[in-house]
Amino acid sequence: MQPVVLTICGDYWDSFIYKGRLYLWGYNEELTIYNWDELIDYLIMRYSLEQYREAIDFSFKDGRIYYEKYPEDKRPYLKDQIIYLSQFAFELNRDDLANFQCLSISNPFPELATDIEVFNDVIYGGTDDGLFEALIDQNPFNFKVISNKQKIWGETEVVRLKANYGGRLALSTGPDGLFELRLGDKYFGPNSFQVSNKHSSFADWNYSNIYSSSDDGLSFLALFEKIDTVEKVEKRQLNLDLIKSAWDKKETFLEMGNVLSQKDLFNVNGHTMSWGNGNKIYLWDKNKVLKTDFLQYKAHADSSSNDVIDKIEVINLKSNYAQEIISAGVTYFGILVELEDRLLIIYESGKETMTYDLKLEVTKWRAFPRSVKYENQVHVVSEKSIKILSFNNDYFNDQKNKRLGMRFFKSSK
Amino acid sequence: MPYITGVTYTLTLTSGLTKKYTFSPKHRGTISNDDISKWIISNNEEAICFLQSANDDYIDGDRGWGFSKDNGIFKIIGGINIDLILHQLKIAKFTEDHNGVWHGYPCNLKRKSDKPSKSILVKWVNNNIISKKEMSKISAYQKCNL
Repeated sequence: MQPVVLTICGDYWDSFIYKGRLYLWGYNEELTIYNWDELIDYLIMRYSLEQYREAIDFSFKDGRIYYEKYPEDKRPYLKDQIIYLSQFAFELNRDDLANFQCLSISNPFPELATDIEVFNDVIYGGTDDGLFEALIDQNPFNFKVISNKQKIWGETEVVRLKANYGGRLALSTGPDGLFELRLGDKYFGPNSFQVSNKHSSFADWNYSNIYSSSDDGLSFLALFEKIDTVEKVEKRQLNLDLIKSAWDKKETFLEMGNVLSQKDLFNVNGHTMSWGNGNKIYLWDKNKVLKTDFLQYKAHADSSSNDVIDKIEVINLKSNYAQEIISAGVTYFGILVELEDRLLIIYESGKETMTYDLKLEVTKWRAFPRSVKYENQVHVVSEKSIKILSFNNDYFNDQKNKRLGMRFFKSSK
Repeated sequence: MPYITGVTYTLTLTSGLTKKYTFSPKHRGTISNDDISKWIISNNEEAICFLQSANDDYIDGDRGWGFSKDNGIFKIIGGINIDLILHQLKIAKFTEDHNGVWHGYPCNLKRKSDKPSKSILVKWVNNNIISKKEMSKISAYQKCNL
């Protein structure tokens, strides 16, 4: 099952989708925000695809309904519609977009951000000078983005950032290692600290734990444990009075524990890259991917590698890729692997392993696995366009037994 | 005029301004395992590289970055051994000391102190020196085959 692809022509630096709006950073340092739902309605009209509206809406506007409540008996029909749509090369240009513009402002950050993240109506921008924020005012009658270019964290530069559901930001700083910044006052202790001084290219969340990946060192998993019982306090030999004071203030006490290296997790030597998200961890090996499940229910601060991962499985690829890996990611619908000259999206369709090989000069790419509507999308920025790809294979996969991509837990959403 | 390593010269920019430049002996010679990058181009080419950087304003305060292109392709200008592996280097970094004397060396883009600032990278994209993809990768210390 191939993705449905929409290409937006133009000279862009970055792209984000959040709460019905598409955020496009132009290379000219303009941030322009579009009404995404109306834009997709226009796409349907432009390509005369009214009879495929449901499939297009699910592909671009809201994919979550597939997982949550779509009737089983209608699924085959919908699948056929999506397969049909995947044959189109949808394309829009700046003029098409102009009618759906909500806002255009100068870059809310002091420079083109190396990476951005949006969480809880705040845009975070990682720059050479640290982390900056801009607030989104979602007032439907006066939508705006407010920025005074305020630096909120400045220990070093930020090259990649990733938020988890709990308001924690993993900050990868390249050679200066991995930091964590905790937003708000939910957590006990300092709101920022260095997790590791080991090189960190990017990071993601295996639940409350951080998987840091590196193309210049060994990737690692930093374990965190919520200390919420006296038994845990005693086992970890922590200061009970201190922790009780946190509990009294309704603060969460998270203790950082062991840092497990890629070498221990996968029992491999050499400089390849591994990465994780949700219940999955992967390691790249040119013509194959090693996969393991992260066992959250067994993970404690003092856990060893053997405790927290399941058996390692090999997923063979049809091609041998000689290029070195640059970055990677895990979504529900599969895994993404950026090589020097392409982006691979590797996924399952039924029991078959599929590779969507996007041979492009990739400026940036971004997936949205923590989104509640756009978890099926990948945005790929290249020299003259942005491709928005919608992968819908996973709605038809067996979540328990799939190997490629995080497991979707219905009850947890 | 052949430039001599270890000697400081006064170089003249196209604007008529001058810059003092010394050819650092530390960055000349055999590439060894001492974590110091070495030029493989001549002193004359090093001077041209610096002058081009200064003329095109690829200078950010007391730091500057340069390169040498041959038919549009970045030339290898130096090398460094990291963990016994030879890395070919294509970007030069120049620094000015407190006496106003500049020197340069082939830089390792994976090293924090060597990475060009964002403002320089933006200028390079605007002048078609590098692509946006290359800017994005260099900014994030990712692998980038210039």
